[in-house]
Amino acid sequence: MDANALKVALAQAGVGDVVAVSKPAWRPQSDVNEECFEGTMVVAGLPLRFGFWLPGGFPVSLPKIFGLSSEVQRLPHVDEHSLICAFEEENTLLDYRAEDNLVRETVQRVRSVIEDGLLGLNRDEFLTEFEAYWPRQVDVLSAVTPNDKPSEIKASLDGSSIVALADGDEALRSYFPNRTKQLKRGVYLPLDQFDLAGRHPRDLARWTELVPLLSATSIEFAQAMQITKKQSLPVVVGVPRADGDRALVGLHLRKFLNDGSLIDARPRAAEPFTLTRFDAARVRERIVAKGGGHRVVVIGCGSGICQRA
Amino acid sequence: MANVQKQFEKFDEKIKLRRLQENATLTEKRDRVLRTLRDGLERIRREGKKIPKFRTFNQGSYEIGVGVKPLDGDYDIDVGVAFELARGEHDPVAVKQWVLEAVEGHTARVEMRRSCVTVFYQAAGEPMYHVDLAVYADGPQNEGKMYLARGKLNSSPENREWSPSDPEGLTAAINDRFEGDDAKQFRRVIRAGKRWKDHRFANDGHAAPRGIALAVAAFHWFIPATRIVDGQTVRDDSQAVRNFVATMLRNFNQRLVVRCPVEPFDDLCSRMSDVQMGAFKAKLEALLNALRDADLDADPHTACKTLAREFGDDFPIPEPEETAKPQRRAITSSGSSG
Repeated sequence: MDANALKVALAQAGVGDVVAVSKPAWRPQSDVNEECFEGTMVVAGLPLRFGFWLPGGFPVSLPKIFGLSSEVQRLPHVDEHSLICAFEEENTLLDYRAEDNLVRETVQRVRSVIEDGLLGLNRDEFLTEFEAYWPRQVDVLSAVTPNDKPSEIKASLDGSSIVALADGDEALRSYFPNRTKQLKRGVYLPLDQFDLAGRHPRDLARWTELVPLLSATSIEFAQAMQITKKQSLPVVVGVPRADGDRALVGLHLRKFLNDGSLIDARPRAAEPFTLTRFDAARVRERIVAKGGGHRVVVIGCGSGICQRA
Repeated sequence: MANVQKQFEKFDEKIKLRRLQENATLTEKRDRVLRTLRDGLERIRREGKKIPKFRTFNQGSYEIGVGVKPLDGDYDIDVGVAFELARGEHDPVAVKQWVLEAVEGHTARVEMRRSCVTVFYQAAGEPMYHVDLAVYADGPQNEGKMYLARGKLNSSPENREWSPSDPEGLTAAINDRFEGDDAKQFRRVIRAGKRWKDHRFANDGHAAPRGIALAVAAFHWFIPATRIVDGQTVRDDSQAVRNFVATMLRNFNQRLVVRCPVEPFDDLCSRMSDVQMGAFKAKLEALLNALRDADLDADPHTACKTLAREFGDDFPIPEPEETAKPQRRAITSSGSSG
């Protein structure tokens, strides 16, 4: 699809004031100089600015749409780079022959996602996909089991960076045999069900914000756990989801002001990290739908244009 | 996405009431009531009562061009009757009583209601028209402002009041809000909203927002919508209604406050209870969902069926064979957003 056709498809989808922009700050770094556009859509009465980019893989992958207005950037399904996730990457089939429609339908879907966000209709989805909104500067391999009980866990560190986490030494060695470097203790703390009450998950990426949300057993556990000023402590937090499972996110607490109980700890630094999970719950979640009993068949169609099964 | 603009325009043609001047029957009803009013006030004067000079003017939905045909057949004509008098020297109910006495007997049923005097026309026991005469204190004695007489015949003193009002200012504000095709779309969206209200609150009319509240909500929140089709900019009423509905929902904070842009600057939804507000919000959400579903539907036939559930039977549904073969969707997803 050339730039002019994209511009026409955007206008047909109700995007106004469409202008071409070269190398905008919102587009991910790329060696390919694909054309980008910016335009305005009125959503729920607000004229909002969006960025449109056809990645090199289009039409096998969808157009990328970025929310450039501040009202959009803290809504569900908008990531930290302002990219709006209109469709699940998995289980989505694209008719690559209908390029115009791919653009129009993506714009339509984005409009609905943003409209829901502005009206507060999809606020619960922050909790459903809590991990996706957690700051993503650092990612750690994890085999920590998410459950309702707080526990000590084991962390493998490379210098001051956490590399992998698991329920114990043995699990760490078993899941990540090549990643067991310097072993340290960490802690897994589940939270109670809570209401974000208008906050973005990113707002909770601070120890002082998480402590009031800890479950009663987590508070008890953290009260009993002693820390020293010199140590750092990887904390994995289990965030309850509506479906009964838990999202897992992490904070690496450092530079404690005092020795004593973890619950009273005052870390001067708390670095958020995300987890690439290999625990049984997550693996099960990814390969079978809820209710179980499904078989998964991966078919190679051999056409050169494949969708993930 | 189905193009349903033609259907929105046909729907508007079906439901819209022309301005009063263009509707001979309603104009005639109004003029007969006003003749009776003039004659009656003259008669009361001759009987010795001192009735000040007055003027009449059209107000309400006809005057702002957003009238819709009523589902129950009871047409509503709004007329202002402004007396040149100092409001501090007259009891508002006494002034309304002049009007009541003047038009009493014009039809079998004439009533003093809280904000007006109403003359009802019936045929075979069924209401056909009613003329609401809103009574005002006007003139230089009132610091250049108009005041609406409120209260009923047996109202206690605290329920009788002259409340500040600017009906002509409101008419001008709404009439001047947009120009050209934007103004036409603005009125189509208000009329669609009013018909939606009449249809969706058909069994519980008193719980519905007032028509003027929807018109003023559009005054605040309507944004014209267009899209490009075959290189031409065309109106997109579906998108305009969707934006308007979504904006109302975004402005809900337990309640929707629709502030009158002129005196008395009051909330035009204030008479709705919290329960009625909740029902209004739920109905708006259902309307938004229908507009979205229709927008996503590639088939105009099924898209219009979805819209007709919200707007009523006057929303036209094209036969499948009348519409171009709907295009298949290019994206098939088993999940929601990523």
